[in-house]
Amino acid sequence: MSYITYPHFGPMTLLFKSIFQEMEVPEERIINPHTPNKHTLDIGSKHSPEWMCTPFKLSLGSLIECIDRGANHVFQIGGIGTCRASCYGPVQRVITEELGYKVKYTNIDYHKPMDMLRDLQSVSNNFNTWQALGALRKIWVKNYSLDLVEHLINFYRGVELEKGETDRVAKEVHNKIFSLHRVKEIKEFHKLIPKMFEDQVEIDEYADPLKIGIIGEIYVVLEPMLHLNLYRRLNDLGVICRNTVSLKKFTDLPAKVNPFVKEYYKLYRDKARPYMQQYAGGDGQESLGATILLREMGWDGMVHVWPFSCMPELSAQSIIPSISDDYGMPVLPLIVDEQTGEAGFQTRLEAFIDMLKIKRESERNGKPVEKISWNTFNYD
Amino acid sequence: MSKGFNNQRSKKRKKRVGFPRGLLYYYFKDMWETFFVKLGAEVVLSSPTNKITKERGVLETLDDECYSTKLYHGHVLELEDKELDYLFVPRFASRKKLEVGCPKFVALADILKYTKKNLPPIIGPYYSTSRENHGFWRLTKIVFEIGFKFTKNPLRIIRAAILALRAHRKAQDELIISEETLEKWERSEILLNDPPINNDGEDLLKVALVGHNYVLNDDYASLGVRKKLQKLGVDLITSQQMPKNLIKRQLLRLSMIDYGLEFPEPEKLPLQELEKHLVGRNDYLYFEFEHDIVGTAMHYLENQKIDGILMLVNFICGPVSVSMEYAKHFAKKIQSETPLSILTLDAHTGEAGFQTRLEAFCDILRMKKNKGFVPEAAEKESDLLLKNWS
Repeated sequence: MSYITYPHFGPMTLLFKSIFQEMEVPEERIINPHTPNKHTLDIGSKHSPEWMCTPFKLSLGSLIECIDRGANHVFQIGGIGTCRASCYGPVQRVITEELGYKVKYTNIDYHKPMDMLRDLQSVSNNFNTWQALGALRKIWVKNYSLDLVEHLINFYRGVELEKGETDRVAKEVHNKIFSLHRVKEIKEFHKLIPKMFEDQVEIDEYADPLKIGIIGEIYVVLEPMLHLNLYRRLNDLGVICRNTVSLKKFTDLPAKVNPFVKEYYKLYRDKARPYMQQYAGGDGQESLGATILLREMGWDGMVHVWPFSCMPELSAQSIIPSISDDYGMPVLPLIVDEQTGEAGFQTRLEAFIDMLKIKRESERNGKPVEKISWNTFNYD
Repeated sequence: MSKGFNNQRSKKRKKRVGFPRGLLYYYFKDMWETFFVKLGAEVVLSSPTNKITKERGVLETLDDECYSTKLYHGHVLELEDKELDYLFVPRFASRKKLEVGCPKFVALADILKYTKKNLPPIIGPYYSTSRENHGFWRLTKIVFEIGFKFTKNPLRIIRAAILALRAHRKAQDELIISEETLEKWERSEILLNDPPINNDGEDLLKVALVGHNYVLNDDYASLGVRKKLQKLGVDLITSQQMPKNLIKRQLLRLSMIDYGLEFPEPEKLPLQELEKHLVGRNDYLYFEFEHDIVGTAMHYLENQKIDGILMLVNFICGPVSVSMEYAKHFAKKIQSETPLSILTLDAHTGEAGFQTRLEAFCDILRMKKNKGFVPEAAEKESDLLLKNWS
């Protein structure tokens, strides 16, 4: 009997959970990872190679916790990649084997959607390809809604009048999304989500908040344990923010097939072309492109988070100073690893935001404060 | 009059192309040098790594770049004021379907362009088989694009390209030994590198030196490890000399879960079968320059015909962190008796400390070899340490 598990991945863990639910794997055979804590990271970094990137350590920790709870079939990334991300599955297999666990690994190559489908099909309740595709379709549709909710939270929490209101609505919306099982229902609900936030959360329309984009490695940008609740910290300082990476990059099949739709990350890559000609793994090129794009839309600054020893982001970080100079866009680099302290993090953020405020005042030239709403903030 | 004279002289002057002596240069130097020389260009090399290179490079780069990249920046800075027409920094990603280089090589040209002020135009062709499916036509395109910068004669370009490939193949043939030669070396019948200096009639040690080409062949970066070992009476083989076929066989085994002792020979297996082994399970060490390292370590850990394995890695190298884990795991898994030592190099490694470690390594190997064994007390202590660790 195989008990399936998968590593924790920020808010997208809910998506992975629902993949297996849609594939009609019995409830008791899915072992869902808990929200990681310090202990998880400690186990992970104890057993990983010293120089491996931090996402590897956290995902290993969360896998080991799940295996201790009885899982014996792991889904992890594998295949032929550009940076070390595609090594995660093979290397973690080696490590867990050394620790004495008997675990089967299914390594998913996210470059090949059809292989991904076949791998998932193999654990499903005898689904044929068509049924499996139907199940996967619900996932990418849910992913749109989940992304939208993330953006809405990071907007409303920065300008809400009554603290905690946004989180309450967000929880409500999350529960609703994952209780729906038909694509049509999910799509209808998707249209209602911005309205729900607008009706239920009261905002200060003339707060004139700073607008900050968050770029960096996808795992760190999405995982609150690693970025130390960066979004909440920024929101508490009265800033609205937005992340520029999304799991859509890998799961959005219709956009990949449709020649008339340009995927969001390709837009960033085109922007980054003069600075980094070719894709060099991870999200390095996207980070550069997003900085340029958001500056052109009048955003105030960027925060660049990446795990220690990440190769693609390091390349990006070497080039970012020249983009900063050319476009006048301030970028705060933050490196995270298993030993990052919260206090230092907070101080740097506060200092950065004070500087941004001074810069904005000097550039204002007597312009009146604009009224803000979700529609002026959203750029999708 | 004087203007015309100047023009004539500038026509006669050969165009100068700069090569930083670092990273990929150590893998492809024969190919690149032959190609540019046959095109009629003058190749300007930076001097071998020295203290100034290191210090300038360390100052120029971010703290968590790997040591070799830091040195590379130092080499580029040296070339800055040599009146070059071009700088050659290829964006090399991969040359086979299942193999990938280091992601830093792709972005290197762009990083140099935006961090250094006075650089000449960079020639940086992009080549990636694994992502973009590049092959013969892409190579032809690159060759002509570069060639027309130096000459207008297409025949000359083709000739240069063919000679370059031939030079590369010849150099590889000279460097890489066959399996028969390897067996001869293992039986101590021949020497492969410089003869070791035998002092006080001590036994010769046989050690495999494992690491990237740009670490092992750079005397300054590796702190002269080859000469040091030679003086300690060590008969060396380096990972770059190992037969490719053997390495591939070991790697193939790595992705078979139980490491069965019988493994298929890659040459005899049909391609489809091979792909089923590797691709279908998505479990393969795809970093091309790690293959030598892991394969050599695995081979000697298993056959136990030599005294020790010395792995030289430079600090915070990304792909090496993966291959180190594989080598360590394999040693534990098959309970190998051959010692494997991993030494880390970075900008602050002291020469004296390094020498001490090498001497200690050789002493332990000798103790083990002379049947005196490692003294009992030391063995007990190491057992205790191992227990506490695991």
